[in-house]
Amino acid sequence: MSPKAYLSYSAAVILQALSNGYQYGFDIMDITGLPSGTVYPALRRLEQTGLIDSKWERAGIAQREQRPPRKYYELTPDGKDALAEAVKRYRLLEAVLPHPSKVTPSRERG
Amino acid sequence: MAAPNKSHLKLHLWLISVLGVIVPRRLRADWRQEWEAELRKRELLLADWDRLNFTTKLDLVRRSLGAFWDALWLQQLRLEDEMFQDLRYGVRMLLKHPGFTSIAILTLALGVGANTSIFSVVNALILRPLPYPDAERLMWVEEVSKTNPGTPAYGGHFLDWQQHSQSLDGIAQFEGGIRTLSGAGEPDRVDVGTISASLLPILGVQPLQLGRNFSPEEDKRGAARVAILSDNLWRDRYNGDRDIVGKAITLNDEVFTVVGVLPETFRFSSHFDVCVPLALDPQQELTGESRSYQSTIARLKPGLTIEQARLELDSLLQRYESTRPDGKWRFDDSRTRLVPLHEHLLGDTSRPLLVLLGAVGLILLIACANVANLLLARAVTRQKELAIRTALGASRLRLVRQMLTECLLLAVGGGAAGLLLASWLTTLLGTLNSTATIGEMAGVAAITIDLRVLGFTLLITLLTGLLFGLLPAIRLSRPDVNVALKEGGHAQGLHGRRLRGALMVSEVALAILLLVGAGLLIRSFVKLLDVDPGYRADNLLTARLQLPPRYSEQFRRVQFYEQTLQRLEALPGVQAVGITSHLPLTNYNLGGNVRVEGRVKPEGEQETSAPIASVNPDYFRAMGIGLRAGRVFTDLDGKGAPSVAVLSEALARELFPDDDPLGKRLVIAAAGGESTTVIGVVQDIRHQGLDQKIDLACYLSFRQTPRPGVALLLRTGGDPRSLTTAVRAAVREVDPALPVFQIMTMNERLSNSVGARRFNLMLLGAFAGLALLLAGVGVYGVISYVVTGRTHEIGIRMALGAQSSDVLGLFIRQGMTLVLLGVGLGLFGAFALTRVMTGLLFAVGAKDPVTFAAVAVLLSLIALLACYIPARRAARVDPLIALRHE
Repeated sequence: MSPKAYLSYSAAVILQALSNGYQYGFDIMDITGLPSGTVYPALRRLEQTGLIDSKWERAGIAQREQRPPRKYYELTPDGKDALAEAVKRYRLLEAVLPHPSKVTPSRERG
Repeated sequence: MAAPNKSHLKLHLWLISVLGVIVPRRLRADWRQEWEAELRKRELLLADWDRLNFTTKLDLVRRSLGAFWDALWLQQLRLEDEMFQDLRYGVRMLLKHPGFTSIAILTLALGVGANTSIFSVVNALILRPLPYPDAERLMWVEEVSKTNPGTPAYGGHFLDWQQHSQSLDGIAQFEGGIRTLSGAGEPDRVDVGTISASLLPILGVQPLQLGRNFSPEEDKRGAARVAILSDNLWRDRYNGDRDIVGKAITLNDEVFTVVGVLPETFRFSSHFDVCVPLALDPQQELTGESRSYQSTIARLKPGLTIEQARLELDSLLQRYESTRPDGKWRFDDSRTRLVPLHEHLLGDTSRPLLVLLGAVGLILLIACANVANLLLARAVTRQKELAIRTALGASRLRLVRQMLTECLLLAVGGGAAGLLLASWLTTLLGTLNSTATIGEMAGVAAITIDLRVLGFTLLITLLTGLLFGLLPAIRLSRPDVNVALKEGGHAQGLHGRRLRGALMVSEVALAILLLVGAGLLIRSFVKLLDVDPGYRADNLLTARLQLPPRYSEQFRRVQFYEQTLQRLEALPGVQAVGITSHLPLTNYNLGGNVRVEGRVKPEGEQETSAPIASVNPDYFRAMGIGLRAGRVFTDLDGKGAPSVAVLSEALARELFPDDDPLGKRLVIAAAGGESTTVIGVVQDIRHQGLDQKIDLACYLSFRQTPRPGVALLLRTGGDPRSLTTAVRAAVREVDPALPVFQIMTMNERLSNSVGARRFNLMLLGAFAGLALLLAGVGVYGVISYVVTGRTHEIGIRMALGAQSSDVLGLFIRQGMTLVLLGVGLGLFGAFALTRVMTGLLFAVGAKDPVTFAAVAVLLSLIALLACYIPARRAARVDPLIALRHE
């Protein structure tokens, strides 16, 4: 899928959420209101088409909280272009999602 | 931060680990970690925020349930799994060796195709229930007694059972017959089913295609004449006339009103073009005034056993007999016998079928052995590749899996091709599906490929894939890395050679089994065709006639026959014309007791009963039945002259073991009960078929006892079939409304009578031929492989002075040792197994030494040829080239 191809609305919203700084699956669900059964497959597809990238969180944080490291996602340059295209189509996209608050702590990178 | 409480199970985490099972293996760990980390993190946060309550826990579960959709989406990534890598690699390897692949697939296709088509017959006849609702409750009812091994039930008993039985949901009688259908168009001879009104309901035929079934009132003596047409007759003769109900048709000069048309899907063991009510008369049956027997089918009430129903019918029968007046016929010692209808219709067809199924099973095993051999041969060239892969760290399991995948691909290819072959073979078998070949099931069962057959094909395909693949795969996955890499792929262990030898031996042994089976059938068939039927079947044309009721007066029948004979005798090329009421190879329509006048049989001894035929004087000459003593009839043995009879040799011996039968007097009920003088003795014939015993026969003059149903026999000088039209024309001149049917030569009748045997023989023979071919190819493959592997050695031997003949002898000796071992094992196996064929043989023992020897020699000769070709190649090798061969 070329970045120019039209994104579905849910994919566009997820890209926007990532762009706003919500980088974990569950945070994206919180902010977009989409169910996990929609968000995760969408993330997989976006990653497969090269619009987003995923990385593992640094082990230290996870160890401290006695849980496995989380996976976070970020936009690739292609993803940024695609989002810009999508914003032209879905004009309210930028307005509907807030920017990160204190809801999502511990976004330290690996 | 509080450590998460691990003591109790958390549903959302448990869900993730369960759902992870369906995630492709290579993604599974990451996937579980991602979800678990998110859930655990969220749990911690909620605890932090002091909001970890019932609602938020439920939310966690809901989120983890969403993982199912995630896992589902990931299924598409399976394509990159190892399995698909194996598949892609397998397809590439098979395409790279098209010769190997096509031979392997062809071999498997023959095996799978033969199995699928025979299984489709087994399925249609044995496995699939009869095409009626709750068919397992349908029973065939017969009467048996000390002296009677089984006859159709007596009409009086049937009526009583129908009225009083509590254990049956219904009972019906029916009988087949031939009548002349006239009216619109040519008069036609049609199969008429005389059925009780209950037959269609107990078979579950509801509703009819058009109209209705007979009502109980119409099934009574003296009711208005009504008829139901078959779908075929309705379409062919009445062009599918939707308004046929209520119209009249004429059967044997009687007018019937059509009340219905049978459904197109209706199938029955007897073929009926028209059904009319049976309409028994209870009073006549009770007093014994008439004695009628008809085939009987009953439907058991649900939950009742056959034995319960039988006991009830028996007690009803006893009660009925005790109320009957002492009449001509009594059945006090009769007992009922109930056999499931399916079992009755199958009769003895299941045994040859199971033998055939066994035979195709053997074919499949031979095919597997052949493909396994091919794989082993190819494996040698792949040893280097496998060694490299092992050296690079591929596990043994991984290699086995890779090779099994290739084998399954081959099997699936073979299976698909086999299914194509089977669909063609099944159509062929379907066209051979006739009463002559598979008995009474022919009318009921449709031989088709259904889901069960497809399932069977899939199963045997996968099984064969495992069977021929496992041995080579396990063997190959153990390459000695060092040896294989060093020797550049030409090494072959002793173990491999032994394995291939063992496969070849088993192929030969299996082929012997099949060949012995086919050989025994062929010998039986040849012996059968050698049997003297007692008459000369060549240059003999036969045709049948059935006189309608307007010929009920005897003189009219005689007149008709005389006029017809006159015309037929005048035809050019006709040497003699016979008329008989008992055409050989058809059912008897009249038999009866033949008693010597003045002789009283001791108590308990049965009267002699024999088929009684009405024939004309020239019958014996036309049939080629020799006169042994006395004379045959003359034109003077007619009405008013003394009643005379001619006996067959066997009957004469039976009645007069010590006396000269000529001039003796007999009492024959069928001849009107008056005293009949024996005037001649003729040669015995096998009336019922070549494989049947010699029949007794009593002949009467057709002028004294003319029967309404006869066969015409024309002894001709040339091809009898050229007279077909002339015979029709001659009969039409005498009576234009009378159809002549079943015009065929006596040889055709004989050939039909052995149809079932020929069918089995053809199939088993074809399978044995296939086995021979596969075994030959197998032997050839092994020997030529051995030759290639030993080229270097041959070079040395020849350089040291060995002659071509030495080399030739070496390989032939080596090959034939294995072949003879296989032949020995096969003969041994055949000795134990051919017992199952006893019922299929005729005049040949199951351990017939001639067959065993012939088969052993035949297979050895084929194998010798298969060894000779590669061995000769070895013997012609140029030592210089051979020495350089690596």
